[in-house]
Amino acid sequence: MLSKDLVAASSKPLVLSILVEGESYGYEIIQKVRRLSDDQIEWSDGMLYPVLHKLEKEGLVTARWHVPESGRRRKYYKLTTKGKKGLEQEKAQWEVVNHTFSKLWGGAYA
Amino acid sequence: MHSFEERINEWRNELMMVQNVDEAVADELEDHLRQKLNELSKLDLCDEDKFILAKSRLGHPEILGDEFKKLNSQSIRLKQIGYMIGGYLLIDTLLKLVHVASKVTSGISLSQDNVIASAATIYIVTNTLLFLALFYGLWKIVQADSPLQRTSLVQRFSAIHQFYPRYTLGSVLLGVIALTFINKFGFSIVMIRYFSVGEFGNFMMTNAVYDISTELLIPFSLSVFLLWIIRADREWKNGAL
Repeated sequence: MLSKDLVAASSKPLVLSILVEGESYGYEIIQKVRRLSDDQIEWSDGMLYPVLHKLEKEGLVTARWHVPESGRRRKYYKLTTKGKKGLEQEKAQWEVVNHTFSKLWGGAYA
Repeated sequence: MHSFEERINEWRNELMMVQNVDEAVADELEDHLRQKLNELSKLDLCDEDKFILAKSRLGHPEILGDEFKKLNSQSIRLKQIGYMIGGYLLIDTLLKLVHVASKVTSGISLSQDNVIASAATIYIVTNTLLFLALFYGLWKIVQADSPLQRTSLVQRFSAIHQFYPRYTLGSVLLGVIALTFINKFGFSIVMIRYFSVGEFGNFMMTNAVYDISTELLIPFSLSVFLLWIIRADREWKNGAL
């Protein structure tokens, strides 16, 4: 299970990476993260929403309410152009971390 | 025995009691809760357990409210800046009223010494309050969750220079504000001197140009400086700093 700090740090790139595939909503995003991480990344579900709202406020995602046939309105999030750029920046940063650890743990300095 | 609908309503009411949770947020979270309940409906659990599980997955309403509060901290800070500028203008207006009042009352032959004494005292008191309010406000802003948290003020500004040379303008303006404050403070000291030798009226006349320029300069440079802080804060939040 991932530590709380790491979960918090990775929430933004995770959400952006999921939304780059297309519009989605909170519950679906959480399900995807859980499935992709083999249940290793477990968010307290409610905590995703402040993250989504923050991204919306920063202009990285846009949101719209949609009423599906089931009747209750649901909020859908979509990546903006700024969000795509933000994701590229995030990717670059995580790749630096990943690259460093690969070197360290890959035996080059062991 | 409560039905799911009753439980959801109770939960929603509890959520709405929390600060920073509005109707839209509650709608969004309720939608999530319902989907979770739907997912859990496949499990062999009693309704009560299903509801408790779904509710606990969403987290405690108070903690959720705190998260949304953090999210709104930017607008709270903008409000603080609003109060600062409002406070400044209020005190400044009082100050000007005192100026006018002192001129009017001296015209109707009140003892000039008394007028000067009260004007000078109020001027010094209001100026001191003004300095305190502004410095307190600025201190609060730089202390807040702003660029390069946990470093000293000097380090913070120099780092902004390093990464964002265009923000140098902000520092120049900060210098202008600091100098104007020092000037104004000096002006108050000089007033005490003039007041003691009874040449207050002459002094006021010769310093009228200086007075107007500083009165305009402070709010102007202060506003630009505050905009700069807000901008730097946003850049930082977007990860650009």
